[in-house]
Amino acid sequence: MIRDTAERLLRGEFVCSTSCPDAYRDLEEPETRSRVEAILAPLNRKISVTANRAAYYATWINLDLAEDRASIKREFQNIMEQLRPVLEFILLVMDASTRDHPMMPGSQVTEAELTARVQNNQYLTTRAKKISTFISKRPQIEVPEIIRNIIDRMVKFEILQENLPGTRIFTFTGKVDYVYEVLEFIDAHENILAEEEAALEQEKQKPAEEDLFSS
Amino acid sequence: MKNSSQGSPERNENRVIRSILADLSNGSDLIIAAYNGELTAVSQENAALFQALQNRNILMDTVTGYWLNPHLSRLINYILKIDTRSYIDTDIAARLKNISILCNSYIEHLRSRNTEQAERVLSDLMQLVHEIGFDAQIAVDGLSRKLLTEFGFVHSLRDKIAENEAAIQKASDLVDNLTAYTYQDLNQYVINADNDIRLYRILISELLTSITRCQNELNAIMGPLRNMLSRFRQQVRKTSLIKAYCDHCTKNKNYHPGDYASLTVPPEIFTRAAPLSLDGHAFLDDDVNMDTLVEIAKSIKTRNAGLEDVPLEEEDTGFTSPPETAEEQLVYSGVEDDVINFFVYAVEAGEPVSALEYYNRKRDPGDENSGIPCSPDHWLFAVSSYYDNMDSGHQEFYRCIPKGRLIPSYTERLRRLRGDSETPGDTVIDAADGSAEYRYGDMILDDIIIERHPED
Repeated sequence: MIRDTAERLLRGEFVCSTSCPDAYRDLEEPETRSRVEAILAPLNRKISVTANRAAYYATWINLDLAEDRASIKREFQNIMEQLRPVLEFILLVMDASTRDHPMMPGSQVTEAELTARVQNNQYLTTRAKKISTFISKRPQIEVPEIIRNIIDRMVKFEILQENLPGTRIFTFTGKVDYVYEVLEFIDAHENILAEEEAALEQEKQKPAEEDLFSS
Repeated sequence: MKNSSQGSPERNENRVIRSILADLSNGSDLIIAAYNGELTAVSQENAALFQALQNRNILMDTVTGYWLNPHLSRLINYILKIDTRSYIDTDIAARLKNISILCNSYIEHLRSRNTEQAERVLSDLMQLVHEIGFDAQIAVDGLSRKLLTEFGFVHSLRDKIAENEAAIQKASDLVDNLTAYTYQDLNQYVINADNDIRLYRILISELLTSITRCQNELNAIMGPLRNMLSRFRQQVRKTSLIKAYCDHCTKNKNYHPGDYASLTVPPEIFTRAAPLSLDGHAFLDDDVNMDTLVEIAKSIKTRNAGLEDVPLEEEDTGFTSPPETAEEQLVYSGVEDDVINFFVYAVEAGEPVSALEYYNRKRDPGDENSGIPCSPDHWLFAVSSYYDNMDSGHQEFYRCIPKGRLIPSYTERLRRLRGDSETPGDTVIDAADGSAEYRYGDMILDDIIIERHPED
């Protein structure tokens, strides 16, 4: 089992309780985690975990080699490309299910249900089409295809995992926690939330000021 | 649980209670319908049940419809209120006043030796103590259930936060209320009553113990309640952040987050290791790899283990003879006589004879159809095969010397596997010394020399 856990990390996978419960259990256990760490160490890799301990992944121990440094730039580029479609998808699922909770590792989404809700709401349909343009050069027109395409892409991004093949019922994996962590990091350095909230506040005050001047 | 009827004939009252509860249970559907004001008609099959409930004054048949006894409706409302725990009574400290009044009254009656009054007051005090303990426990259980269900009775995150904040406030109030019951104060009543043992049992053994138990449970709840509130708030922040990021990207079309991976010391979150490609080829200079390859080569099976072993005679191969025989026939097809003649010629010649030379000699350049009817490669293969398949008695008369070139890469690895230190030759190999092991499959065959064995 240790071998499988180590191989998953070496393959660059996020190990979480949804994607691979056994490997996740190995990594939660300090003793087995240190054994896996010992396998990774000669390959200049160590185990890192997201803040909420939802997912484990392998990171470089050092960046002495130019190729290792180049690889983190590639990985960074990949995650930046995934960030917006993933976040837009999460918002779509939240709005479709009229919930204000962000999707967390373990949250479920059913393709049929999501399709039905998006199909019956013009605003959600527009949003789904917008996501489709982020992930596909030739976006689909029909809502069921759009949703299927988006979900398939989320599976490819390791954000979703199908519960049983063919059921089209999916569970959010631990990688979503990593995505949130990346988002928090960006916000901590670029103050996006504060900026947007300030803009929103300004927007709210605008009509009142206009009224004041017009009167 | 105490059973009052244990060891004695069951009291009539208990039997009636049991019967009432049975009727309530059997008629639960009718009662629920009546409670919700939805019982408009009683079907034939429910008539007996309805009659039983009506006889107990649980359901009533009036001109305005079927009604549930208002007492039962109130009881159900009360139980529902407790069950949903939307209301938690925390004002337990207020009852300290009543305790004080009753205790002082008891002490007064004791001092005036009014035993009967003292007994009555003590009974009231005991009732009050039970109520306080019961209500405190209900309050704690209510909070505990809210925690377990994560405020499941409200849907939105903001409502959950409001409920969570209220629950923490309630718990704090409850802690304050329970702390009002101090050992010193309660024990003072006992001392004032000349250390009355019955008062001690009620105030210290019962009341203070139940209060302490509730306090311990509350302490265990407070931490998780605060953690949950923090989690809910984080989720709200997360939602706001997701929306803010998406809005930001929409407004600023060319927005890209900073290139944090290019920092001299990139943050750990952006140092994800590249996937290690686990496919590839073995590095043959590494002895460990060579050993592994040897193991793999040894373990290769020539037959598919999954295939059923069908006896040859039962298998329809489409051949008239078994495949081995068919192969033999193919090798010597049309040239068997030529091969035999060649070996006879080698005996008669008394010197080494080249199979290729013999083949060329038999061919008439002017006649395409003349000579041995196969290609030179086939001819050499047929000769070698004939020699290899000779009886050992016959084989002793001949010496077969293949001439050819070993396939370099293969033989090199073969020698390494064997552990030969000698650098292999990659030119002509002459197996004439007979010491070298060779296989025809190892070489590109150029010619075969057959000679009658010198000792014969």
